[in-house]
Amino acid sequence: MSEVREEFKYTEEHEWAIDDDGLIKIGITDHAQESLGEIVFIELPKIGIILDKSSIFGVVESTKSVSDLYSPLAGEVVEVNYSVETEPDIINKSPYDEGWIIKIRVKNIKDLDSLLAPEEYKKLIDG
Amino acid sequence: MKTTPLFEIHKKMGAKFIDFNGWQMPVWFDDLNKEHIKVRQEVGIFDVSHMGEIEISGKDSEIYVDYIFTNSVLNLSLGQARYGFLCNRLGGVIDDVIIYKIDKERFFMCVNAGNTNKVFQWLSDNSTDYDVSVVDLSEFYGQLAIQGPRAIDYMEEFFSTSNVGSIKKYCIAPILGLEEKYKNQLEWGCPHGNNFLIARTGYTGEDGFELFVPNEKIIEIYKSILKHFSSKIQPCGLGARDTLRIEMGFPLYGNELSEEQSPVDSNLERFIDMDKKEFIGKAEIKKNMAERKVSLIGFKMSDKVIARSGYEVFIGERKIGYVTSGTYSPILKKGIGLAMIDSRWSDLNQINIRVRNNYKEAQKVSYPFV
Repeated sequence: MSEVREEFKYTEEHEWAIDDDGLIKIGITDHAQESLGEIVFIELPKIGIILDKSSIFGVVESTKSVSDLYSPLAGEVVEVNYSVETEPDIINKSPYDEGWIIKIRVKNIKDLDSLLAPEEYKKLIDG
Repeated sequence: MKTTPLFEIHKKMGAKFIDFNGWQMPVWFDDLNKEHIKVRQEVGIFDVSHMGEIEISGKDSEIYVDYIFTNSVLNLSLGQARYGFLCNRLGGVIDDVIIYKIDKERFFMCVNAGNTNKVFQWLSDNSTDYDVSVVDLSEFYGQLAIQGPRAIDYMEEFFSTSNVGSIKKYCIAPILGLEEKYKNQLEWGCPHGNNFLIARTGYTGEDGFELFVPNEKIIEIYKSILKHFSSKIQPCGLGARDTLRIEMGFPLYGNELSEEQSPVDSNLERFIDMDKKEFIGKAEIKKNMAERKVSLIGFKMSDKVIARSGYEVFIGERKIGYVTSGTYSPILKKGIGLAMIDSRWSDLNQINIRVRNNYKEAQKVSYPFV
Protein backbone atom coordinates (compact mmCIF):
# COMPACT_ATOMS: atom_id res chain seq x y z
CA MET A 1 0.00 0.00 0.00
CA SER A 2 1.29 3.44 -0.88
CA GLU A 3 1.68 5.94 1.91
CA VAL A 4 -0.65 8.96 2.03
CA ARG A 5 0.39 11.47 4.67
CA GLU A 6 -2.26 13.13 6.78
CA GLU A 7 -0.68 16.58 6.94
CA PHE A 8 -0.26 16.93 3.14
CA LYS A 9 -2.62 18.12 0.39
CA TYR A 10 -2.81 16.36 -2.99
CA THR A 11 -3.68 16.73 -6.67
CA GLU A 12 -5.32 14.38 -9.14
CA GLU A 13 -1.98 14.31 -10.99
CA HIS A 14 -0.34 12.76 -7.91
CA GLU A 15 1.60 15.73 -6.59
CA TRP A 16 1.61 16.65 -2.93
CA ALA A 17 1.85 20.15 -1.42
CA ILE A 18 2.43 21.42 2.11
CA ASP A 19 2.88 24.76 3.84
CA ASP A 20 6.61 25.14 4.54
CA ASP A 21 7.13 28.35 6.52
CA GLY A 22 4.86 30.32 4.24
CA LEU A 23 6.11 28.71 1.02
CA ILE A 24 4.46 25.74 -0.69
CA LYS A 25 6.71 22.71 -0.88
CA ILE A 26 5.83 20.32 -3.74
CA GLY A 27 6.72 16.76 -4.65
CA ILE A 28 5.19 13.59 -6.07
CA THR A 29 3.32 11.01 -4.02
CA ASP A 30 4.45 7.60 -2.94
CA HIS A 31 1.80 6.16 -5.25
CA ALA A 32 3.26 8.14 -8.18
CA GLN A 33 6.83 7.01 -7.59
CA GLU A 34 5.66 3.41 -7.22
CA SER A 35 3.81 3.40 -10.53
CA LEU A 36 6.73 5.05 -12.32
CA GLY A 37 9.40 2.71 -11.04
CA GLU A 38 12.97 3.85 -10.48
CA ILE A 39 13.27 7.46 -11.61
CA VAL A 40 16.39 7.94 -13.75
CA PHE A 41 16.11 11.54 -14.96
CA ILE A 42 14.30 14.65 -13.84
CA GLU A 43 13.87 18.04 -15.51
CA LEU A 44 13.57 20.89 -13.03
CA PRO A 45 12.33 24.46 -13.52
CA LYS A 46 14.53 27.54 -13.13
CA ILE A 47 14.24 29.63 -9.99
CA GLY A 48 12.13 32.73 -10.62
CA ILE A 49 9.75 31.17 -13.11
CA ILE A 50 6.09 32.01 -12.56
CA LEU A 51 3.82 28.97 -12.72
CA ASP A 52 0.10 28.91 -13.41
CA LYS A 53 -2.04 26.47 -11.50
CA SER A 54 -1.79 23.05 -13.25
CA SER A 55 1.01 24.19 -15.55
CA ILE A 56 3.87 21.79 -16.26
CA PHE A 57 6.96 22.65 -14.21
CA GLY A 58 9.10 19.60 -14.88
CA VAL A 59 9.31 16.01 -16.03
CA VAL A 60 10.26 12.77 -14.33
CA GLU A 61 11.43 9.83 -16.38
CA SER A 62 11.75 6.23 -15.34
CA THR A 63 13.15 3.56 -17.63
CA LYS A 64 9.69 2.60 -18.78
CA SER A 65 7.72 5.83 -18.68
CA VAL A 66 7.70 9.59 -18.63
CA SER A 67 5.47 11.80 -16.53
CA ASP A 68 4.90 15.57 -16.46
CA LEU A 69 4.92 17.43 -13.16
CA TYR A 70 2.01 19.84 -12.66
CA SER A 71 2.05 22.74 -10.29
CA PRO A 72 -0.73 22.32 -7.73
CA LEU A 73 -1.09 26.12 -7.39
CA ALA A 74 -0.08 29.34 -9.13
CA GLY A 75 3.11 30.90 -7.83
CA GLU A 76 6.78 31.74 -8.29
CA VAL A 77 9.48 29.08 -8.06
CA VAL A 78 11.79 30.18 -5.25
CA GLU A 79 13.66 27.00 -4.40
CA VAL A 80 14.61 23.88 -6.35
CA ASN A 81 15.88 20.64 -4.84
CA TYR A 82 18.95 20.08 -7.02
CA SER A 83 19.91 16.91 -5.18
CA VAL A 84 17.05 15.07 -6.95
CA GLU A 85 18.64 16.07 -10.24
CA THR A 86 21.91 14.31 -9.43
CA GLU A 87 20.24 11.44 -7.61
CA PRO A 88 16.68 11.11 -8.95
CA ASP A 89 16.01 7.89 -7.06
CA ILE A 90 15.85 9.93 -3.84
CA ILE A 91 12.26 10.54 -4.99
CA ASN A 92 11.66 6.77 -4.94
CA LYS A 93 13.29 6.34 -1.57
CA SER A 94 11.80 9.36 0.16
CA PRO A 95 8.97 10.94 -1.85
CA TYR A 96 7.63 13.05 1.05
CA ASP A 97 10.88 14.13 2.69
CA GLU A 98 14.27 14.28 0.93
CA GLY A 99 12.57 13.81 -2.44
CA TRP A 100 10.71 17.15 -2.46
CA ILE A 101 11.08 18.90 -5.81
CA ILE A 102 10.33 22.66 -5.65
CA LYS A 103 9.09 25.38 -3.35
CA ILE A 104 6.84 28.12 -4.68
CA ARG A 105 5.61 31.44 -3.28
CA VAL A 106 1.86 31.85 -3.63
CA LYS A 107 -0.33 34.94 -3.17
CA ASN A 108 -2.54 33.31 -0.61
CA ILE A 109 -1.40 30.30 1.38
CA LYS A 110 -5.08 29.52 2.01
CA ASP A 111 -5.28 28.32 -1.63
CA LEU A 112 -3.86 25.06 -0.30
CA ASP A 113 -7.33 24.27 1.01
CA SER A 114 -8.60 23.97 -2.56
CA LEU A 115 -6.47 20.82 -3.08
CA LEU A 116 -7.46 17.23 -2.30
CA ALA A 117 -7.52 16.18 1.34
CA PRO A 118 -5.66 12.93 2.21
CA GLU A 119 -8.96 11.04 2.41
CA GLU A 120 -9.99 12.24 -1.05
CA TYR A 121 -6.61 11.32 -2.51
CA LYS A 122 -6.75 7.87 -0.92
CA LYS A 123 -10.11 7.32 -2.60
CA LEU A 124 -8.64 8.40 -5.92
CA ILE A 125 -5.78 5.91 -5.84
CA ASP A 126 -7.81 3.05 -4.41
CA GLY A 127 -10.63 3.62 -6.89
CA MET B 1 -7.76 -9.47 -21.10
CA LYS B 2 -5.81 -12.72 -21.45
CA THR B 3 -3.51 -13.94 -18.72
CA THR B 4 -0.93 -16.73 -18.56
CA PRO B 5 -1.15 -19.57 -16.00
CA LEU B 6 1.47 -17.72 -13.91
CA PHE B 7 -0.70 -14.62 -13.43
CA GLU B 8 -1.83 -15.47 -9.88
CA ILE B 9 1.70 -16.34 -8.73
CA HIS B 10 3.01 -13.11 -10.20
CA LYS B 11 0.30 -11.13 -8.43
CA LYS B 12 1.38 -12.68 -5.14
CA MET B 13 5.01 -11.86 -5.97
CA GLY B 14 3.99 -8.19 -6.22
CA ALA B 15 4.43 -7.77 -9.98
CA LYS B 16 3.21 -4.63 -11.73
CA PHE B 17 1.22 -5.48 -14.84
CA ILE B 18 0.75 -3.93 -18.27
CA ASP B 19 -1.48 -4.70 -21.21
CA PHE B 20 0.72 -6.12 -23.93
CA ASN B 21 -1.20 -6.96 -27.11
CA GLY B 22 -4.26 -7.99 -25.11
CA TRP B 23 -2.26 -9.89 -22.49
CA GLN B 24 -1.96 -8.81 -18.90
CA MET B 25 1.74 -9.41 -18.27
CA PRO B 26 4.24 -8.45 -15.54
CA VAL B 27 6.14 -5.31 -16.59
CA TRP B 28 8.43 -5.51 -13.57
CA PHE B 29 8.47 -7.09 -10.15
CA ASP B 30 10.42 -4.79 -7.91
CA ASP B 31 12.86 -2.78 -9.98
CA LEU B 32 13.21 -2.91 -13.75
CA ASN B 33 16.84 -1.75 -13.81
CA LYS B 34 17.85 -4.38 -11.26
CA GLU B 35 16.16 -7.09 -13.34
CA HIS B 36 17.96 -5.85 -16.44
CA ILE B 37 21.39 -5.87 -14.82
CA LYS B 38 20.82 -9.30 -13.28
CA VAL B 39 20.22 -10.71 -16.78
CA ARG B 40 23.39 -9.07 -18.11
CA GLN B 41 25.48 -10.33 -15.20
CA GLU B 42 23.90 -13.55 -13.92
CA VAL B 43 20.50 -14.95 -14.80
CA GLY B 44 16.86 -13.92 -15.00
CA ILE B 45 13.63 -15.78 -15.70
CA PHE B 46 10.76 -14.43 -17.82
CA ASP B 47 7.25 -15.71 -18.35
CA VAL B 48 6.74 -15.43 -22.09
CA SER B 49 3.75 -17.74 -22.31
CA HIS B 50 1.90 -15.11 -24.33
CA MET B 51 4.10 -15.98 -27.32
CA GLY B 52 2.50 -18.24 -29.92
CA GLU B 53 3.70 -21.63 -31.12
CA ILE B 54 2.76 -23.08 -34.47
CA GLU B 55 3.72 -26.47 -35.85
CA ILE B 56 4.11 -27.36 -39.49
CA SER B 57 4.30 -31.03 -40.34
CA GLY B 58 3.91 -33.28 -43.34
CA LYS B 59 5.76 -34.46 -46.41
CA ASP B 60 6.20 -30.98 -47.95
CA SER B 61 7.14 -29.19 -44.69
CA GLU B 62 10.61 -28.20 -45.77
CA ILE B 63 9.75 -26.76 -49.18
CA TYR B 64 6.68 -25.07 -47.71
CA VAL B 65 8.64 -23.37 -44.91
CA ASP B 66 11.27 -22.39 -47.46
CA TYR B 67 8.52 -20.69 -49.49
CA ILE B 68 6.87 -18.73 -46.67
CA PHE B 69 10.06 -17.69 -44.79
CA THR B 70 12.69 -15.11 -45.89
CA ASN B 71 15.69 -16.93 -44.47
CA SER B 72 17.23 -20.16 -45.69
CA VAL B 73 15.77 -23.40 -44.36
CA LEU B 74 17.03 -26.18 -46.63
CA ASN B 75 20.48 -26.17 -45.03
CA LEU B 76 19.24 -26.50 -41.43
CA SER B 77 20.31 -29.56 -39.51
CA LEU B 78 17.95 -31.39 -37.18
CA GLY B 79 17.28 -29.32 -34.06
CA GLN B 80 18.68 -26.14 -35.58
CA ALA B 81 16.81 -22.85 -35.44
CA ARG B 82 16.73 -19.75 -37.64
CA TYR B 83 15.37 -16.23 -37.28
CA GLY B 84 13.63 -14.52 -40.17
CA PHE B 85 10.42 -13.03 -41.51
CA LEU B 86 7.11 -14.05 -42.90
CA CYS B 87 6.37 -11.41 -45.55
CA ASN B 88 3.33 -10.54 -47.58
CA ARG B 89 3.48 -10.18 -51.36
CA LEU B 90 4.40 -6.51 -51.02
CA GLY B 91 7.39 -7.40 -48.87
CA GLY B 92 5.77 -6.12 -45.64
CA VAL B 93 6.31 -8.16 -42.50
CA ILE B 94 3.47 -10.41 -41.30
CA ASP B 95 5.65 -11.42 -38.35
CA ASP B 96 9.25 -11.99 -37.30
CA VAL B 97 9.70 -15.54 -36.07
CA ILE B 98 12.15 -18.22 -35.04
CA ILE B 99 11.74 -21.48 -36.92
CA TYR B 100 13.06 -24.69 -35.36
CA LYS B 101 13.63 -27.81 -37.42
CA ILE B 102 12.42 -30.63 -35.18
CA ASP B 103 12.81 -33.34 -37.79
CA LYS B 104 12.81 -33.66 -41.54
CA GLU B 105 9.06 -33.33 -41.83
CA ARG B 106 8.35 -31.16 -38.82
CA PHE B 107 9.03 -27.49 -38.04
CA PHE B 108 8.15 -25.53 -34.96
CA MET B 109 7.62 -21.79 -35.11
CA CYS B 110 7.63 -19.28 -32.25
CA VAL B 111 5.55 -16.23 -33.18
CA ASN B 112 4.64 -12.92 -31.54
CA ALA B 113 1.66 -12.96 -29.17
CA GLY B 114 -0.27 -10.25 -30.97
CA ASN B 115 0.25 -11.91 -34.35
CA THR B 116 -0.52 -15.54 -33.52
CA ASN B 117 -4.02 -15.71 -35.04
CA LYS B 118 -3.02 -13.68 -38.07
CA VAL B 119 0.06 -15.84 -38.71
CA PHE B 120 -1.87 -19.07 -38.30
CA GLN B 121 -4.51 -17.89 -40.78
CA TRP B 122 -1.88 -16.68 -43.23
CA LEU B 123 0.12 -19.93 -43.00
CA SER B 124 -3.04 -21.96 -43.57
CA ASP B 125 -4.10 -19.81 -46.55
CA ASN B 126 -0.70 -20.26 -48.18
CA SER B 127 -0.48 -23.99 -47.55
CA THR B 128 -3.14 -25.21 -49.99
CA ASP B 129 -0.64 -26.33 -52.66
CA TYR B 130 1.49 -28.25 -50.16
CA ASP B 131 1.08 -31.54 -48.35
CA VAL B 132 1.43 -30.01 -44.87
CA SER B 133 -0.62 -29.59 -41.77
CA VAL B 134 -0.44 -26.31 -39.84
CA VAL B 135 -1.44 -26.54 -36.18
CA ASP B 136 -1.67 -23.72 -33.65
CA LEU B 137 -0.24 -25.08 -30.38
CA SER B 138 -0.34 -21.76 -28.51
CA GLU B 139 -3.06 -22.94 -26.14
CA PHE B 140 -1.01 -26.01 -25.31
CA TYR B 141 2.43 -24.49 -24.74
CA GLY B 142 3.51 -22.00 -22.13
CA GLN B 143 7.00 -20.55 -22.37
CA LEU B 144 9.74 -19.55 -19.95
CA ALA B 145 12.89 -17.69 -20.94
CA ILE B 146 15.93 -18.21 -18.74
CA GLN B 147 18.56 -15.70 -19.81
CA GLY B 148 21.97 -14.56 -18.70
CA PRO B 149 25.63 -15.60 -18.80
CA ARG B 150 25.02 -18.18 -16.06
CA ALA B 151 21.82 -19.64 -17.58
CA ILE B 152 23.80 -22.60 -18.91
CA ASP B 153 25.05 -23.56 -15.42
CA TYR B 154 21.59 -23.15 -13.92
CA MET B 155 19.85 -25.23 -16.57
CA GLU B 156 22.47 -27.96 -16.47
CA GLU B 157 22.01 -28.16 -12.74
CA PHE B 158 18.21 -28.08 -12.87
CA PHE B 159 17.79 -30.57 -15.73
CA SER B 160 20.66 -32.77 -14.64
CA THR B 161 19.33 -35.81 -16.50
CA SER B 162 18.60 -34.06 -19.79
CA ASN B 163 22.06 -33.09 -21.01
CA VAL B 164 21.06 -29.51 -21.85
CA GLY B 165 24.71 -28.44 -21.83
CA SER B 166 25.19 -30.20 -25.14
CA ILE B 167 22.57 -28.05 -26.89
CA LYS B 168 24.39 -25.67 -29.21
CA LYS B 169 23.40 -22.03 -29.59
CA TYR B 170 20.33 -21.56 -31.76
CA CYS B 171 19.30 -25.21 -31.41
CA ILE B 172 16.39 -27.02 -29.77
CA ALA B 173 16.01 -30.41 -28.06
CA PRO B 174 13.40 -32.32 -26.08
CA ILE B 175 13.68 -32.13 -22.28
CA LEU B 176 13.93 -35.87 -21.70
CA GLY B 177 13.86 -35.57 -17.91
CA LEU B 178 10.49 -33.83 -17.97
CA GLU B 179 9.03 -36.11 -20.65
CA GLU B 180 9.89 -39.01 -18.38
CA LYS B 181 8.66 -37.32 -15.20
CA TYR B 182 5.26 -36.36 -16.61
CA LYS B 183 4.78 -39.52 -18.69
CA ASN B 184 1.05 -40.40 -18.76
CA GLN B 185 0.28 -37.42 -16.55
CA LEU B 186 -0.75 -34.91 -19.18
CA GLU B 187 -4.40 -34.28 -19.78
CA TRP B 188 -3.56 -32.97 -23.25
CA GLY B 189 -0.59 -34.41 -25.06
CA CYS B 190 1.06 -32.68 -27.95
CA PRO B 191 0.14 -34.48 -31.20
CA HIS B 192 3.77 -35.22 -32.01
CA GLY B 193 4.89 -36.17 -28.50
CA ASN B 194 7.39 -33.37 -27.85
CA ASN B 195 5.61 -31.92 -24.85
CA PHE B 196 8.72 -30.40 -23.31
CA LEU B 197 11.28 -28.58 -25.46
CA ILE B 198 14.31 -26.48 -24.62
CA ALA B 199 15.93 -24.11 -27.10
CA ARG B 200 19.15 -22.17 -26.69
CA THR B 201 17.58 -18.98 -28.01
CA GLY B 202 16.38 -15.70 -26.56
CA TYR B 203 15.70 -12.01 -26.98
CA THR B 204 18.16 -10.45 -24.55
CA GLY B 205 21.51 -10.78 -26.30
CA GLU B 206 22.77 -13.02 -23.51
CA ASP B 207 23.26 -16.75 -23.68
CA GLY B 208 20.14 -18.49 -22.44
CA PHE B 209 17.27 -20.83 -23.00
CA GLU B 210 13.60 -20.82 -23.88
CA LEU B 211 11.52 -23.64 -22.46
CA PHE B 212 8.35 -24.71 -24.22
CA VAL B 213 6.29 -26.64 -21.69
CA PRO B 214 2.57 -27.51 -21.41
CA ASN B 215 0.45 -24.75 -19.84
CA GLU B 216 -1.03 -27.36 -17.51
CA LYS B 217 2.42 -28.03 -15.97
CA ILE B 218 4.07 -24.63 -16.19
CA ILE B 219 3.05 -23.49 -12.69
CA GLU B 220 4.68 -26.57 -11.19
CA ILE B 221 7.84 -26.16 -13.28
CA TYR B 222 8.12 -22.42 -12.63
CA LYS B 223 7.67 -22.87 -8.90
CA SER B 224 10.26 -25.62 -8.74
CA ILE B 225 12.84 -23.50 -10.63
CA LEU B 226 12.23 -20.54 -8.29
CA LYS B 227 12.41 -22.79 -5.26
CA HIS B 228 15.57 -24.56 -6.40
CA PHE B 229 17.53 -21.35 -7.03
CA SER B 230 15.67 -19.09 -4.55
CA SER B 231 16.99 -15.52 -4.75
CA LYS B 232 19.78 -16.49 -7.17
CA ILE B 233 17.40 -16.38 -10.13
CA GLN B 234 15.74 -13.02 -10.83
CA PRO B 235 12.09 -12.98 -11.99
CA CYS B 236 11.88 -10.38 -14.76
CA GLY B 237 9.04 -8.60 -16.50
CA LEU B 238 8.45 -7.40 -20.03
CA GLY B 239 10.02 -4.04 -19.08
CA ALA B 240 13.47 -5.58 -18.78
CA ARG B 241 12.80 -7.75 -21.83
CA ASP B 242 12.27 -4.54 -23.81
CA THR B 243 15.28 -2.62 -22.45
CA LEU B 244 17.52 -5.68 -22.96
CA ARG B 245 16.44 -6.08 -26.58
CA ILE B 246 16.84 -2.36 -27.29
CA GLU B 247 20.41 -2.43 -25.93
CA MET B 248 21.08 -5.19 -28.47
CA GLY B 249 19.30 -3.31 -31.28
CA PHE B 250 16.90 -6.22 -31.80
CA PRO B 251 13.69 -5.24 -33.62
CA LEU B 252 10.25 -5.47 -32.03
CA TYR B 253 7.22 -6.16 -34.16
CA GLY B 254 5.02 -3.06 -34.13
CA ASN B 255 8.04 -0.77 -33.58
CA GLU B 256 10.67 -1.61 -36.19
CA LEU B 257 8.57 -4.08 -38.18
CA SER B 258 5.10 -3.85 -39.69
CA GLU B 259 3.02 -5.06 -42.62
CA GLU B 260 3.58 -1.73 -44.33
CA GLN B 261 7.36 -1.91 -44.30
CA SER B 262 10.01 -4.19 -45.67
CA PRO B 263 12.52 -5.73 -43.24
CA VAL B 264 15.15 -4.07 -45.46
CA ASP B 265 13.98 -0.71 -44.03
CA SER B 266 15.24 -1.90 -40.64
CA ASN B 267 18.58 -3.09 -42.11
CA LEU B 268 17.69 -6.73 -41.49
CA GLU B 269 18.75 -8.12 -44.85
CA ARG B 270 21.07 -10.62 -43.19
CA PHE B 271 17.90 -12.59 -42.36
CA ILE B 272 16.77 -12.64 -45.98
CA ASP B 273 18.25 -15.21 -48.33
CA MET B 274 18.03 -13.65 -51.78
CA ASP B 275 19.75 -16.71 -53.27
CA LYS B 276 16.61 -18.72 -52.66
CA LYS B 277 14.66 -19.41 -55.82
CA GLU B 278 11.44 -18.05 -54.39
CA PHE B 279 9.74 -16.93 -51.21
CA ILE B 280 6.66 -14.81 -50.67
CA GLY B 281 7.53 -11.13 -51.07
CA LYS B 282 10.91 -11.72 -52.73
CA ALA B 283 10.28 -9.55 -55.82
CA GLU B 284 9.24 -6.51 -53.77
CA ILE B 285 12.06 -6.98 -51.26
CA LYS B 286 14.51 -7.00 -54.16
CA LYS B 287 13.13 -3.58 -55.18
CA ASN B 288 13.41 -2.30 -51.59
CA MET B 289 17.04 -3.36 -51.53
CA ALA B 290 17.75 -1.37 -54.69
CA GLU B 291 15.81 1.72 -53.55
CA ARG B 292 16.69 1.91 -49.82
CA LYS B 293 14.54 4.90 -49.01
CA VAL B 294 14.90 4.66 -45.25
CA SER B 295 17.46 3.28 -42.87
CA LEU B 296 17.49 2.24 -39.21
CA ILE B 297 20.14 3.92 -37.08
CA GLY B 298 21.15 3.64 -33.46
CA PHE B 299 21.49 6.78 -31.35
CA LYS B 300 22.69 7.84 -27.94
CA MET B 301 21.35 11.01 -26.28
CA SER B 302 23.96 13.64 -25.34
CA ASP B 303 21.90 15.02 -22.44
CA LYS B 304 20.13 13.35 -19.54
CA VAL B 305 16.96 12.71 -21.49
CA ILE B 306 15.15 9.75 -23.01
CA ALA B 307 13.83 9.76 -26.56
CA ARG B 308 10.90 7.38 -26.85
CA SER B 309 9.14 5.70 -29.74
CA GLY B 310 7.29 8.16 -31.95
CA TYR B 311 9.53 11.15 -31.18
CA GLU B 312 10.57 12.98 -34.36
CA VAL B 313 14.13 13.17 -35.69
CA PHE B 314 15.51 16.34 -37.27
CA ILE B 315 18.54 17.75 -39.04
CA GLY B 316 18.26 21.45 -38.37
CA GLU B 317 14.62 22.24 -39.04
CA ARG B 318 14.11 19.40 -41.44
CA LYS B 319 12.27 16.33 -40.20
CA ILE B 320 14.07 13.23 -41.42
CA GLY B 321 12.44 10.40 -39.46
CA TYR B 322 11.20 9.15 -36.13
CA VAL B 323 12.27 7.07 -33.16
CA THR B 324 11.06 3.47 -33.40
CA SER B 325 12.28 2.34 -29.95
CA GLY B 326 13.85 4.35 -27.18
CA THR B 327 14.71 3.76 -23.58
CA TYR B 328 17.06 4.49 -20.73
CA SER B 329 19.91 2.00 -20.89
CA PRO B 330 20.51 0.59 -17.40
CA ILE B 331 24.03 -0.42 -18.50
CA LEU B 332 25.11 2.84 -20.21
CA LYS B 333 22.97 5.02 -17.92
CA LYS B 334 21.94 7.06 -20.94
CA GLY B 335 19.02 7.45 -23.31
CA ILE B 336 19.50 5.17 -26.32
CA GLY B 337 17.32 4.03 -29.15
CA LEU B 338 16.67 3.16 -32.77
CA ALA B 339 15.33 5.58 -35.34
CA MET B 340 14.09 5.13 -38.88
CA ILE B 341 15.37 7.97 -41.01
CA ASP B 342 15.50 9.06 -44.62
CA SER B 343 18.53 7.15 -45.89
CA ARG B 344 19.97 10.24 -47.61
CA TRP B 345 20.90 11.40 -44.11
CA SER B 346 22.16 8.11 -42.73
CA ASP B 347 25.84 9.12 -42.97
CA LEU B 348 25.48 11.99 -40.52
CA ASN B 349 26.96 11.51 -37.07
CA GLN B 350 24.64 13.81 -35.21
CA ILE B 351 20.87 14.24 -35.19
CA ASN B 352 18.34 16.15 -33.14
CA ILE B 353 15.33 14.56 -31.55
CA ARG B 354 12.31 16.57 -30.49
CA VAL B 355 11.66 15.82 -26.84
CA ARG B 356 8.70 17.80 -25.47
CA ASN B 357 9.27 20.69 -27.89
CA ASN B 358 13.01 20.86 -27.22
CA TYR B 359 15.46 19.74 -29.86
CA LYS B 360 17.88 17.44 -28.08
CA GLU B 361 21.20 16.37 -29.52
CA ALA B 362 21.89 12.69 -30.14
CA GLN B 363 24.95 10.92 -31.54
CA LYS B 364 24.53 8.26 -34.16
CA VAL B 365 26.12 5.06 -32.83
CA SER B 366 26.27 1.52 -34.07
CA TYR B 367 24.36 -1.21 -32.25
CA PRO B 368 24.41 -3.48 -30.22
CA PHE B 369 24.83 -0.57 -27.82
CA VAL B 370 26.53 -2.66 -25.13
